[in-house]
Amino acid sequence: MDPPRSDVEPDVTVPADCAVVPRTDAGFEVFYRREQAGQVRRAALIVGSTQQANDLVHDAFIAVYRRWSLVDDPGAYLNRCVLNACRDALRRRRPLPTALPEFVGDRADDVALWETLRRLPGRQRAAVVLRYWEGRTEIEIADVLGVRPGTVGPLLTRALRTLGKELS
Amino acid sequence: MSDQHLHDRLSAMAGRVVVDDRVSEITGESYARAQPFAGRRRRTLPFAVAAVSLGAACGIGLVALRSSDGDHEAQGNAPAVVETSVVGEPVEAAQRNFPIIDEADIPVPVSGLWGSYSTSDEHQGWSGVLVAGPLDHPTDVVGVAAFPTGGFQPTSIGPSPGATPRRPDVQEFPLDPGFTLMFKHGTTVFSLVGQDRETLYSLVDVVEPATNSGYRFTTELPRGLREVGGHVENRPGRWPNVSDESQSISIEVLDGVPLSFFAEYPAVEQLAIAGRAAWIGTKPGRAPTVAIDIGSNKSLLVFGHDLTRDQVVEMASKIRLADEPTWRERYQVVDRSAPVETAVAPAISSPVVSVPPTGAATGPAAGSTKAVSSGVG
Repeated sequence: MDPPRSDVEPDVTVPADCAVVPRTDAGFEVFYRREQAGQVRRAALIVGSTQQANDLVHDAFIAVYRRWSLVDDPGAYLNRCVLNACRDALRRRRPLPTALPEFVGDRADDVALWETLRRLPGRQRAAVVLRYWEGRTEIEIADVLGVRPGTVGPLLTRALRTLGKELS
Repeated sequence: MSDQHLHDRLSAMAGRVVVDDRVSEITGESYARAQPFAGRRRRTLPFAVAAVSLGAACGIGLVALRSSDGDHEAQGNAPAVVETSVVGEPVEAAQRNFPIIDEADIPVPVSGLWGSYSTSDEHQGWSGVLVAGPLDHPTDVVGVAAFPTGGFQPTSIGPSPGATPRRPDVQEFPLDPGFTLMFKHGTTVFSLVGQDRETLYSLVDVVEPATNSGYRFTTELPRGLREVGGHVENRPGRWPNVSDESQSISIEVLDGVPLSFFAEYPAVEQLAIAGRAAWIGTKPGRAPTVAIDIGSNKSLLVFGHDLTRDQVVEMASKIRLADEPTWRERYQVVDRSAPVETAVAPAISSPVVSVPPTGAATGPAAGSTKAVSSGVG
């Protein structure tokens, strides 16, 4: 079954789209404005902190900017930087803090969902975000996470099993 | 919970994330001057300082902070001539730097093991380590790093609350435990990391930049310190690591002799693991880190969030070193880094080898480097 694509579409990078951005400071700013919000939202859902997500994505953009004229596909590069940074951040904060991030809000089902997501291993949480928020296919998720496609299915299966058990 | 409901709720949460617009911090004048950290003032201070300080890899805590990509580009900041750089070794041996461990050999339950590359092209410069006391029980370990012009600039880090530097020309940052001092000598930025504040200040006036080795000491070293090995030139590169799905364990090969990773540890002692020289560093409230000398100025760092000293040593003793193709196959590693400078090691005939004994511990030779994890967790 295809992942859902409706309502608020995540405005995260579509790599093929990024190669056409002019490699100038103005071009970088266009790229930044197009990609930043989606990347921050993705990172926040993975690391559980708006502040940290903004910082991680900021650092990732710095890395892209430093290679702005060199990188073939800045969108893919940015994806990699952000997700690497998320993983690194999770290494330092395991498990995620129990305090609810402000973006969870106060709806009971959102709180319950976050409480379960929070306890998932970071890689599973990233896979869930990529699949069920961004609507990526398993092949795309594998590419973004840097794993082989065959490993994504089991990751999602374990995550959904946990979500189902906790939220039922 | 249906897929659609999950999507809807994640969308609702994502929509509430407040996004800061900080593009001017990246494209502004300060960054145009090629100060890599100009936009990083908000980074947590201890991590920023620690990254500068040799990438002193206190287990995965520090490895984690090094920002990341997976790309490699020509170095821009390091001196052109290498005098005391990382010593090479026969190619075949150097290829067996890829750690492999089986889940059954990890003393706590883990779910899935993953391999990935760590890469970095930041903090280029030179680093080394000073040691006081015997190598098997050092009484002090000091990390030294020098960043030539264009590298890290200390002014890009804000002041540390509560830290009052003793001298106006030195920035001081408390670690937990320990200290980092940063100062400039001409255009070179120096970083000293260690446990004893007095010792660090005693070094400020006796170190100076050197063209071919990054830095040198102008007088005899104070407080019984001696240089152990040469200076490592930190170049862009990549390093293999293995961790579990929850990031609870970390096994990583990094450049630098084992002691170069322990400047932030108040207690360091030598062990023998699988016949190799190794050191274990401990500090209050943190799981111990083991660093094993695997030759060629490389160390195998082993850490587990929940492991005791005995457990981390036991786990370290079970690690095998393999060549890159074997390691990649074992952990299904996808290499997306497309390195420019770093050659991918070709396969060799006997891919997996146990860590062979190297005899008695010998003195380490040089400093450390830093890395950034690639892959996602």
